[in-house]
Amino acid sequence: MRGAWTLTTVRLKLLVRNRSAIFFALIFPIVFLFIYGFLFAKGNPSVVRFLMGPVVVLTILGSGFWGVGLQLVFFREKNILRRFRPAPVGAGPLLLSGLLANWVVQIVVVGLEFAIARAVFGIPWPAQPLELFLVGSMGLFAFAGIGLLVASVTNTMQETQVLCNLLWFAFMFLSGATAPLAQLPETIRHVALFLPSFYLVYAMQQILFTGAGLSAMIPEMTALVITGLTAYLLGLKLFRWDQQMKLSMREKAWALPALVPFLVLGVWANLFSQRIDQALALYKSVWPR
Amino acid sequence: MPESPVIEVEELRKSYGSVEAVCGISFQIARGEVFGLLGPNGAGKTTTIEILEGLRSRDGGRVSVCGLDPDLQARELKERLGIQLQQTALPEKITVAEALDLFGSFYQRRVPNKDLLDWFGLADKRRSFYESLSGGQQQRLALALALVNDPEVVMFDEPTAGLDPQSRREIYKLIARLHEQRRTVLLTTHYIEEAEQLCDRVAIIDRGKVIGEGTPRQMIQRSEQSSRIEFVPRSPVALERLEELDCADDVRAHNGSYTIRSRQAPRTLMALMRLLIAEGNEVVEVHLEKPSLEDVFIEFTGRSLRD
Repeated sequence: MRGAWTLTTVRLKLLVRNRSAIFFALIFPIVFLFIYGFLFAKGNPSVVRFLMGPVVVLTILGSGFWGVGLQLVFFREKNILRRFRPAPVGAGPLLLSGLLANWVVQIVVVGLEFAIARAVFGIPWPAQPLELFLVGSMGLFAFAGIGLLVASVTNTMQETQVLCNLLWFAFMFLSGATAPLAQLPETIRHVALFLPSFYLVYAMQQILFTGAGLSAMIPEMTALVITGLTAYLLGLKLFRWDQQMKLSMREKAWALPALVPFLVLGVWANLFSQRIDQALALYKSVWPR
Repeated sequence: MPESPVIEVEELRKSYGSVEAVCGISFQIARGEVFGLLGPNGAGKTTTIEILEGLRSRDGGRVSVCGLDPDLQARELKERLGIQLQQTALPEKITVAEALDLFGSFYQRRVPNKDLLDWFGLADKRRSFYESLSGGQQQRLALALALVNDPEVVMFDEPTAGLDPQSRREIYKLIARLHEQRRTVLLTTHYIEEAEQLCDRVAIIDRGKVIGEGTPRQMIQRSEQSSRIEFVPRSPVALERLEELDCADDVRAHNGSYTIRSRQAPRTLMALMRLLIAEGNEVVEVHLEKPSLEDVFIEFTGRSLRD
């Protein structure tokens, strides 16, 4: 992993120097916090606290897809990865540095979101910051891993944009990360149980409201970590230094194993868990009638 | 060759699907030599150099670089090689010094930034972003990055492609300096003057095969091409007398100037001088044009380098 740390610090410097990256990594999520806080929660501190889960998911999902995934494709298309190819640094440190730089930035942004939510809407500080930090980090790892995997299986920037948008819309609108699960049709609620974003929203809301510990969320955390790890390893396998190196459909099929953890979790949650009931109960206790 | 070879290539083969890009190439490069792979686009130069760099696997043949097999010991080899690939870039907002620090961090051995910045004339640009550098400066930075690990063997793939003449001359000076430092340099090019000026030896590659190898001078001597002697005498000379000159192949006259083609130009020139003195004539102007490597290339391949 020699060079991974230097690469991470360079990536952080590049991000700070890029106005468009600062807007999308920092300003954009905070704008969404205000939209959720003023429009959806109407300034009600309890509802804002309930919506912090969706706001955080929106923040780290965007960073994973657009920040980590799209940047990899950009570097490949601009022949920047090609410059690294002759050096004794493998794809591992390059991908890892993308994940680490994203993690550092997003931890700061999410911390800032909680600080702003407290200052503007008066929500209390989270009682279990360590649990939130750990679950948030696992979510960051999983979503950034998916972003990397998308970048690894697509051959062009256009293809990446299409796939990222499709996944982003599914993850945001079918999981309770925009409209709460209780406001979605019954069928969609069952679909949500197959989406990683549902589990991250669920875990954050349970930690913020019920004081649930990590032990209550072992399936969710396991699925997030396994997804992140599988996506990272498959991203490594499918990594390409050069835009001339295209993947065939058969090679792209290597990405499918990354879906397995949430397929298994979705089946388990639909058959044996009370996740939907618990999410609905929390909604009823918080959301004004 | 003066010393034992640092690079040995024997019957190298590589295909892409049904297309055979490299068909049994062999050559050796000695320590401290500047060796050029010369050929038109698509001749197999880049494939060959990328196989030597360990970036592409081979289908057949034997390759040894610094005593290592690039297919099996690519990582170890990368520590000892300096490589500049065609068409690479850096992030727009990285500074020159940061790029040197970053790439230096990948190697066990590294040259101090100050030395590289001074050497490549980038000292006053150390804090400049990559996007603000000119094409020539970007290319000098690419070469500096290739030397960040103080490599014993350097491989440049079309190092001056797309550069203006002034930037190209700057790169020539840098490569000449590598030669003075007794580093082994392998470069690919399709610029004849680059090969003639920089290389101790060249191999002409066409359609995946080596079709000629030697020093530029040997290649020219070996060729069937003749030199051209063009002169203007004070008084007219009879063409028949010129045709009788030693080794004169073809003689033409045009507006008071004469052109003689010869495969032994020094002998023909001496004979010409004797003839003019004997006739009480004088030379007002004389030019000698030797066959170039480009002429040799066209003779060997039947087409121009830029075809």
